[in-house]
Amino acid sequence: MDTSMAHNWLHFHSLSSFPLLTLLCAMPLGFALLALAIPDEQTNAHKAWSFLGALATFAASLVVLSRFDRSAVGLQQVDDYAWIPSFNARWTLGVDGLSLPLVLLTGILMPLIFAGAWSAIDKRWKEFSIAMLILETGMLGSLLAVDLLSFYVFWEIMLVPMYLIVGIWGGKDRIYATVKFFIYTMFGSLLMLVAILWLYQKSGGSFALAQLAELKLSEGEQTWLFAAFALAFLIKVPVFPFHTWLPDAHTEAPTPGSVVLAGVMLKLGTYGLLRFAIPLFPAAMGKFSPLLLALAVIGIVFGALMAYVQTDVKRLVAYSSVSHLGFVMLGIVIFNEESLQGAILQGVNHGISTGALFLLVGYVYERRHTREIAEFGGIAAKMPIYAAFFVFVTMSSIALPLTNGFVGEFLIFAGSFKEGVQAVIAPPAIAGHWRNTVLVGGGIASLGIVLGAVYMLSMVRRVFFGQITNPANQSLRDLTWREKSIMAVLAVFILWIGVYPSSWLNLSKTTVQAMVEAERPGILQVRAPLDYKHEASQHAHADR
Amino acid sequence: MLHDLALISPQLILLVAALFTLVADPFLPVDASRRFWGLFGAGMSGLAILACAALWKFGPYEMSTPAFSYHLAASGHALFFTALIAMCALVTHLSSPAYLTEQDSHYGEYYALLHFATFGMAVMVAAESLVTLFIGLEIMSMAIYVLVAFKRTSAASVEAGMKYFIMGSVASAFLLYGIAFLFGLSGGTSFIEIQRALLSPKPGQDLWLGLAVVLTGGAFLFKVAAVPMHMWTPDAYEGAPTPITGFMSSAVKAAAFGSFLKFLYAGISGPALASLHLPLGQVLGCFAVLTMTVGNILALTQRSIKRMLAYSAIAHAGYLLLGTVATIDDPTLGTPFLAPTGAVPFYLVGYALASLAGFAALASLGKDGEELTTEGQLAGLSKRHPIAALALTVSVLSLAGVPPTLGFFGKLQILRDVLAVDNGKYLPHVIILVLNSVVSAYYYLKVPVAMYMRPDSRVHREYVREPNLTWAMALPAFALLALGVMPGRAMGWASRSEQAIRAGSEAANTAHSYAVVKGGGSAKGVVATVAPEKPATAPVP
Repeated sequence: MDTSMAHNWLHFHSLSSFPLLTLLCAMPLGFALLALAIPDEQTNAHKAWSFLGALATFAASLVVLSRFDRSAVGLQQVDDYAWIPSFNARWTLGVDGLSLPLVLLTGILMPLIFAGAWSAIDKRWKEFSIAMLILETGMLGSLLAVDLLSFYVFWEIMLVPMYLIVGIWGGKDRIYATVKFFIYTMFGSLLMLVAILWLYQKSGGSFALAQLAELKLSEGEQTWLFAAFALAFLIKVPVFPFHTWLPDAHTEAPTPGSVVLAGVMLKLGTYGLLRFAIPLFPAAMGKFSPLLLALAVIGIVFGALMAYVQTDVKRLVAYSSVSHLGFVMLGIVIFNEESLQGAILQGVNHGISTGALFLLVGYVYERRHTREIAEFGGIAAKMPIYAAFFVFVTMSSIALPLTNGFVGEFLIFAGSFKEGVQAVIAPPAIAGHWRNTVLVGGGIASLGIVLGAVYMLSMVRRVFFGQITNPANQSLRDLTWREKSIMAVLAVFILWIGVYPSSWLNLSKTTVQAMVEAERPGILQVRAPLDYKHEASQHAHADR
Repeated sequence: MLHDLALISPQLILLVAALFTLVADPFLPVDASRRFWGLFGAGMSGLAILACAALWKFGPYEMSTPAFSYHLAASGHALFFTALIAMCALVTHLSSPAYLTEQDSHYGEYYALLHFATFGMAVMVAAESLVTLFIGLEIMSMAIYVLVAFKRTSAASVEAGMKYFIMGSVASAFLLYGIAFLFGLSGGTSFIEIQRALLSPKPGQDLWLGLAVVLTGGAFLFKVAAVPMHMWTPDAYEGAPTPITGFMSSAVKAAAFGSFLKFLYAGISGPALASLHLPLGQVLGCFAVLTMTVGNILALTQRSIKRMLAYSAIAHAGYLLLGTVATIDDPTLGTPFLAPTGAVPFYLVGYALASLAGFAALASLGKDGEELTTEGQLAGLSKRHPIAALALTVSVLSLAGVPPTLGFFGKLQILRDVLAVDNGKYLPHVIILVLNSVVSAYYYLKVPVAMYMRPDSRVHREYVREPNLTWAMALPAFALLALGVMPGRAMGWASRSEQAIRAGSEAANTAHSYAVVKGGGSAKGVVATVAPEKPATAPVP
C-alpha cells in the first residue's frame, strides 16, 4: 500500500517565539478567573467584564491572523512545550488554514453572544460569564491543539460549562436536555479516548498527531479506530442518526447557549473529522465514505423535513442545523479541493447565519415568552427592522446568491458534481459505484436546498406577514440599538462572505490543497481503486 | 535502634498523637476539647506528612530500608502511602469537630481513635512482614469499627458499626488463615522470606499455596470493597458519621490498596505462583469488571447521596483493581511485571481528594442532628452554601473523570497501563470501564443538577458554617483542579512509590543470588529470570 505520501500539512511550519496561541487560548480563562473577584450582585460589572474578555480574545485572534502566512503548508505559530513528562504528552498548539477560520468565527461570535445575553440572561451573571469564558477556552483549545491528549482535555472541558449553561439558564425541560447532551457527548468521547490510547500504545508512547499519522495500522485496526473517533465527532456534528440530543439541547438552551452551540461547537465535530480522523485513518475513511455520504444526505433531507413540521421556531432552526451540517459533511466526505473549501466555509457560514437566527428568535422570545409559530403572524408591521433582519438572515440560510450561504453550498455541490460527473463523462473503465453514488447523493442533497427554502420561507410568512391576529403582538417593540448593532455586525459578515468570498477562501486554500494531496490518494485507493489509478496516471502525466 | 526509630518516625508521630489525645482529653473542659482536638489532630497529621517528606527527600527511597529486622520499612512506597493517609487524616480532623458538635456526638476519644486508625494504616503500608501487616490492619479496623458506630444515639450508625465489625472480623480471620498457610510453606512471615521460599517451588505445595492465595486475596478484596465482598459498604458508609465516611473511602481504600499492591508484588508473586496455573491477572480482571459494573448500576438507583457515593466507592474499587491487574499482569506468561508507572497510587490520590472534598461538603449539610443528604434536600444548595456546592461539584466531576480534574488523569493512566498489557489483551475490560464511566456520569450529574439547576425548596434549611470545615472541603477541591492542570509531579511521586516496591523485592532476590538482575533496576523480567531450572509454563489463553 502506497502511503508514502507524507502528512506535510500536519508538520510544523513555524514555531512561535512568543506563546501567542497559548495566550489566545488562556485569555478567556484568565478573564473568568478574574471575574471570580467581582461580587455576585454586580451584574453590570459582570456583563461589561465578560464582553471585554471576549473582545480581548477577538483582538488576540486578529493578531494571530495578522501573523498568519497564507501560502505556507503546515502548522504555524506553533507553541510546543512538555506537559506531562511521564506520558510524553505535550502542550502543542498550532494554527493553519483549517482551524483559523473557525478561530476567527469564535472570536467574532463570542462578544456578540455576550452582548446578546445582556437581556437574555436574567440571573446569576457571575456564573454565566465564567461558564461562557471557560467554554471559549475549551473551544479555542480544541481548535488549536494538535497533541491528542491536550486536544481531548480541551474537548472535554467544553462539556461541563455547556452542561451548566443549558441546565441552569435553560427552559422548562432543561435538565432532561442537558443530561442527555452530557451523556451522549461523553459516551462518544470516551470511546475516542480508548482509541487515542491505543494509538499511543502502537506508536510507542506519543500523542503527537503528525507522528501518529505515520503509523502503519492494519485494516481492521483502522476500521475500529476510525469508528471510535468518528462516533465522537459524528455525535458532536451531529450526523443522522446521532442527532437526537441536538433539538432538545437547542430548544432548552438559553439564547447565548444555542448560539455558541450552533455557532462553534457543532463545527468542532466536522473539524475533528478533518484534523484527526481522516489523516489518521484515510483508508478507513475511504471504506466508510459511502456510508457517511448516505448519512449526510439523509441528514440533509431528514433535517429539512423535520424542520418543516416544527411548530416552535427555535426547534425549527435546530433541525435546520441538522440539515445544514449535512451539507458540510457531504463536502468532507467527497474530499476534493472544492468540496473541502466549501465545507470549511459553510462551517463559518452556518455559525454566522444560524447564530443570527437563534439571536433573532431569542429577541422575540424575550418580548413574548413564546416561540410558537401559531402565536405570531403579521409582526412585520410592528417590528419592521426586526423583520428586515430576519428575512435577510433567512436569505443567507437558504443560500441566496450574494449571501454567504450560496458560496459555501455552491462549492460543496461543485465538488460533488466534479466527483460524480465522472460517472457520465469518464471512460467506463473508471466509472465505478462510488461515482454513481456521489451523483445520486448529490442530486438528493440538492433537493435539500429546495426544502430549505420551503421550511424557512413558510415560517417567515406565517410569523411576519399577513394580519396581526393575536392581540398580544400589538404591543411588540422593535429592536433596541444594542440588538440592532449585533445584527448589523452579523449582516456585514453575511454580505462580505457572499460578495467577496475569496478573502476567506484564501485563508484555507493552501492547507486544503496540501490536505487533498496528502490524504486523498489514501481515501480514493479504498473507495474507488480504479479512479485512484486513473488520477495517479494523470498526475504522472502532469509531472512529465 | 535509633536509626530504626527515625525510619518509622511518621508512624511514631501518629501513635504519640493518639496516646496523648487519649490521656489528655479527660483533663480538658468540653469547650476546649471541641476547639482543640481537631486542630491538634490536623497538626500532628501534618507533622507526619512532613516526616514522610523528609525521609522521602533524604532517605534512600529507591530501596526498601527495613527497620526492626524486616518488619517495617521506610520504602518510597510506605512513605508515599503514609503521607497520603496522613493527608486524609488531616482533612478529616478539620472537618470532624463541627460535624460532631452538630450531631451531639463530640467526645475526645473520637480523635484518639482517628489517630489510632491512621497509625494502623501507616503500619499496614510500611509492613515488610505479614504479621506486621496484620497487626496494622487490626489496629486500623478496630478503630474504624468504633468510629463508624460513633453516633451512638443513631440506630443506623450502631447497626453499621456492628455489621462492619462482624463481616470485617470474618475477613480478618481469612487473612490470618491465609498467612498461616504462607508461613507453613515458607517458614517465615516476612515478604522477603516468603518470596525466597516461593522462588524454588517444592512438590506438593500447590494446594496449600492455592489456599493461601485465595484466603488472603479474599480478605483484601473484602477490605477494598470488591464485589461480591462489598455488602458491608453501603450500610457502613451511610451509617457512619460523614467525616468518617470520607475517611473510609479515602484513607482505608488507600491503605487497603497500598498493602494489596505490596502483597501482590513482594509477597505471593514468583514462579511458585506460575506453577499453580492461576492466571491471577485474569481472575482479578474479572473481579474488577464485576465490581465496577455492579457498583455503578446499584448507584444509579440511590436517593441518598451518601449511599450513592458508597456504591460509587465500590465502582472505583473496580477501576483500581483493573489498575492492579496492569501492575501485576499475568505471572504465568513469563513477563510478570510491567514498568511501574504508579497508576494505582496516582489514582488513589485523585480518588482520596475527591472523596474528602465531597464528604466534607456533605458533612456541612444539616444542623442539630439532621443529615440533609438526599437528592431532594440538596436542591438549591448553590445559592445557600456556594462553597459546599462548588466543592461537591468538583468532587463528583473528578469521580466521573472529567478533565481537567485529577480524576481524569487517574483514569487515563489506568486505561493506558491496562491497554499496554500484552498488546491489548484487556481491551474488553477497558471498554467496559469506559462504558461504566458513562453510566456513572449519569448519577454523578444528579448532584450538580440538584444543587445548581433545581429550584430552591421552600423548606428552610440550615448548614454548618465553620471555617475549618470549609477549608476541609475547599482545599481538596482546589487540589483536584490544580493537580489536574499539572499532574506531572504527582505522577512522578506515584511511580516512585511503585518503583520502590520493585526495587525492594529485587534487592531481596539479588541478596541471595537467586536472581540475575541486570543493571540494578531493569524494568521487567526480573522474576522471570530467577528460576532457570524451571521451564516457562504454557501461557493460559
